[in-house]
Amino acid sequence: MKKEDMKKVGAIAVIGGGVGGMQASLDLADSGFKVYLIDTKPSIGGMMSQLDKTFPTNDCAM
Amino acid sequence: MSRFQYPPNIEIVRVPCVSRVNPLFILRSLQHGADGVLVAGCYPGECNYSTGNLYARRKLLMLKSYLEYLGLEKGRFQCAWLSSAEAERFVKIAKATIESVRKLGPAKKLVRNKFNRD
Amino acid sequence: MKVIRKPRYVDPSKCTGCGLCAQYCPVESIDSYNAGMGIVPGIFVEYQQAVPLIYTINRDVCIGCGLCAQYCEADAVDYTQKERTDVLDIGAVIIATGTETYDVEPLTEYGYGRYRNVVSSIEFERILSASGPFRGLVLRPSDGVEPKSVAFIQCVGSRSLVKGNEYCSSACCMYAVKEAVVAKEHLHGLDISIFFMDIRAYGKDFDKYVERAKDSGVKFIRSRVSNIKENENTKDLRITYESDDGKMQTNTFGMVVLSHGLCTPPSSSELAEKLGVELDRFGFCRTGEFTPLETSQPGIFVSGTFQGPKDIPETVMQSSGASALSSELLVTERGSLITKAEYPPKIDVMGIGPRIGVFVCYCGINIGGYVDVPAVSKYVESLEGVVFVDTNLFTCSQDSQETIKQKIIEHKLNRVVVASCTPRTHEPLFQETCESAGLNRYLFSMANIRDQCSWVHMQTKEKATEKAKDLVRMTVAKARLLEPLERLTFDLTKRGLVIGGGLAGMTAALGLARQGYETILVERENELGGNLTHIHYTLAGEDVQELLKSLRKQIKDEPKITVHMNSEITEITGFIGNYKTKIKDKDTGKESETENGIVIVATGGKENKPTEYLYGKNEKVITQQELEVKLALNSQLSTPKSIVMIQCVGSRENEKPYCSRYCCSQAVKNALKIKEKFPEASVYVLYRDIRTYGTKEVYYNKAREKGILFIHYDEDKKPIVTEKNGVINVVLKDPVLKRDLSIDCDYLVLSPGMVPQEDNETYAKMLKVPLNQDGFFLEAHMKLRPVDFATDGIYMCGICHSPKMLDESISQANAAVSRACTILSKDRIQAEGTIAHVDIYKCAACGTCEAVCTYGAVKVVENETRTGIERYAEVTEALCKGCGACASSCRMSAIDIKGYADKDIVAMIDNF
Repeated sequence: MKKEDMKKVGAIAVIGGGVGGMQASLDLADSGFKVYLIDTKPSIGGMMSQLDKTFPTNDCAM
Repeated sequence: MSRFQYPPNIEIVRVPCVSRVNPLFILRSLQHGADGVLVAGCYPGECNYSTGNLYARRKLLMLKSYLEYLGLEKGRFQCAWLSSAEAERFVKIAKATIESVRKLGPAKKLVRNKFNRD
Repeated sequence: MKVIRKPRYVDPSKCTGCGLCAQYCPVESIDSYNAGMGIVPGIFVEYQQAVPLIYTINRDVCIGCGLCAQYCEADAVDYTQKERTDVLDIGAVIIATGTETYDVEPLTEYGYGRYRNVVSSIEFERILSASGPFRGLVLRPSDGVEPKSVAFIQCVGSRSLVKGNEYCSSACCMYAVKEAVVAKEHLHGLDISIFFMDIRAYGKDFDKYVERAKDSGVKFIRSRVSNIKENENTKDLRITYESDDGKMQTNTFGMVVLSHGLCTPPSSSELAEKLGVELDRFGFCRTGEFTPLETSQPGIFVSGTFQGPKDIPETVMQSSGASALSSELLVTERGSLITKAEYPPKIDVMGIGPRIGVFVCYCGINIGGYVDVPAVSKYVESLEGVVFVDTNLFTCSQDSQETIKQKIIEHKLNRVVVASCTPRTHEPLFQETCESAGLNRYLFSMANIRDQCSWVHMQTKEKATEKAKDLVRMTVAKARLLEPLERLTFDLTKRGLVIGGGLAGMTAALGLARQGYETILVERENELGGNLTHIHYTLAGEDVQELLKSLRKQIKDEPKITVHMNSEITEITGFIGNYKTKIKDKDTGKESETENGIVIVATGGKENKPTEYLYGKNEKVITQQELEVKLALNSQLSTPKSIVMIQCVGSRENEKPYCSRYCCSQAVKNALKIKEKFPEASVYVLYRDIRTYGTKEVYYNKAREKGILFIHYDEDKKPIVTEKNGVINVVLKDPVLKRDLSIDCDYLVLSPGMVPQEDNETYAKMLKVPLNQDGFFLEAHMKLRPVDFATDGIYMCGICHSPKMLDESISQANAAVSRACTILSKDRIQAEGTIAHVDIYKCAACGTCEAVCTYGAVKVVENETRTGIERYAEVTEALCKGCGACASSCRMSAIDIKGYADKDIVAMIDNF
């Protein structure tokens, strides 16, 4: 298929469901795009969900 | 959440933020025969609405000293900071509050007769 | 794109996350969520708050006993599920696969894996967590006893040419200090020492955090530990190190935490290969110096730690940035694959008394096993206003939704109460169900008789049942008074305003324009560029002036951008989607007005002017910025024999306690440039901490290889600079030799860091947004919303947020574009439903509500009313979040929150 023949698709795949993937997905969905959020784990959250608190605010990471 | 057990003597009123808690609500609860009132909000700096809990803190601390001045026993009205992820802490606080209120016995001071339920 | 979907062996449309299966599962596997320090059943969720809350069977340990399927009341277990391949049609990809922690076991000198009390920092993180293996107690793995002292070893597996990776992992200094602070909170009196080379607290408010840690007693020891030995009896650990005075010291600790670095996991490298994305020599995704979010494949973008080691705010900024760039490619397709929810016409409930329907849930046995659900239902039937009561096994299941819809229509219900779990799980689901039956979602309320009742009063079933009755009674009392609420919608102006034409401002303006929105760019100087005009090359040797030229041209060529040069903003009024801005041309004095939907603040910052070290008194004492210009323009620097650079001048002390982040890299950059041009020159860099974080660390190594000398000085022993016969002399105490070092130099170059622009205060007042203590703009949330202001519709990027590197400004500018587009892309803006409302005839216009509102959503105004000109508080619905701070502060009870009105809450109190 020639590049010119390919139609643009209004969907974006976000690979990785950590805090980065989640933020990207939310922004895209809020702006009118379909998002496929893909992760190898059974739930999203990535490494940040393992943290107790975050610096410098000492907020609970969950 | 994590199913830590605690005594069933606490009824819960849901509000969007602890800043929604009007001191008059607490008064009303006591008038209605509540033996104790517990207000729990997010830690300073963690408020979902930024500064709601800070305003609440000021208001409720003033209310606390005012209620004590009125003669309400110390320990009936309690405030606590809590994170929604701290199940165990909530249970600790709930148990401690129930215990300290239990020690004070049934509330008599601010109860209004016309509100008495059967 | 082909995606292989692994089976959960649980049907996600049926699983309610109740957890019964896990209780009966007879097998266990290692809990990887708890860093291998615990066990989970064979059917599990990673943690209680997991999204989605659907259980998964670990196929590797499952013995196929069938117990989970047997006990599952929702019939959700499905052993026949197979792996399947989905083919997705997509327009762009964002890779945000993250990082993994460096495996410290091969570093045998630290004893990890041999000594039980040597743990990795991710393990320590889990130890500190309330949901971790020790429930948040700080205990040693060897004997479960609280340690009296803990040592942190930094840079394990990082900043090493021999063992580990050469780069700096950027986050370890800060996370170690955080773990230390949290550990001290959990265990009072715990003695903590952190062994470090440099403390890289380069981010916003990081230095303040470290200082607070020091104040709370955390010890910082500048020394690289070579090995750890264990005392076989006590299992304590002995660390021998060289202290500041050159002597060897041995300290014993109960536990040691290794701050391991971050690196790319093999799965990410494999993914990169499949997608044809190139990696750099460290294994991170290769990106351009000025295109930090673009991979080598067009259409594939990257963000987060896969791009390079970084912390959470940086990741969030990059992710939003990647959203902007990926959606830019697909602007024409915006909205094409979005399905709009369709609702039937609303039932009019005004004037009709409440007809409440109550649905009491069994939740399998989660509620039903402890609360007498039939008794509760019977009791509820007797409550005033209740016309229909039903029970469900699982109210959240699909078929239950259909039942509820049916019953609403059949019994003409106009209020719905569901007594089940926490609103956090299914409130939106039930609200949707109401809407699809024609009922306004705000006529729905939930009573939590699970998490706050059956689950926590398991031993007292009778009391639990009584409490369940109480809770439902309270909720029904509130439900009687609930009113339908409209979420007001507003038109919006699809135009953006960018304040500031530097790197961030130009990038943001181009981003907005390319998303299809008209943009106004206001710059107060005669030309665009901001600080870029003084920067010539980067650490990697890229030409910054070319970038500047290119950006200026792109702005000029972009038809959707209108630039106001030499101009300033005199007034901005309005709210999200509806701003009116007045711009004044400084030369002609002419004022123009424009309307815009969002504002992006990119006012930048500028190099500070030093007030010490003879700056301003001797022309050979210059700043790094001035040096760079001289080096770039060649002619202005006579061949120097010796150059001394002093870092942290006027920074990280007194009135400016913050780190400016870029100065160490800038010094290394210029030092390398000097050596390039004048190989015989001696270059000395006097520093407090060298903060060449991330992959910039390799340039620090290169600088030392080239013979540039880095000498450490303490904050309280600053170098002394004098001038004698036109020669500048610098004296400082050498930390290794313990003697004074006296260096004569031809040039003294100072790194004074950045300060915010003076007009930040003016803009802060104009936009009603806050500044932090250091004068930079304060974001809504330091970690999770680094480009948003608390007030919706206004965003920030670049140095006005905090000093940063060029590529970081570019990422943040793109992030601001992405955030702005979430507003600009909408047809109408919708306000929340549960917002504040003022009874203007009760209002005394005291202004208390205005003072307590974080969002600037309520203001005292003066207007014509039916009783004449009145002053009263007016709510800007678009900005109100419904927190209630105003309502509880109002002395007249004039302002109230719809949905959580005084009468609603009082009804609950009256009925407890």
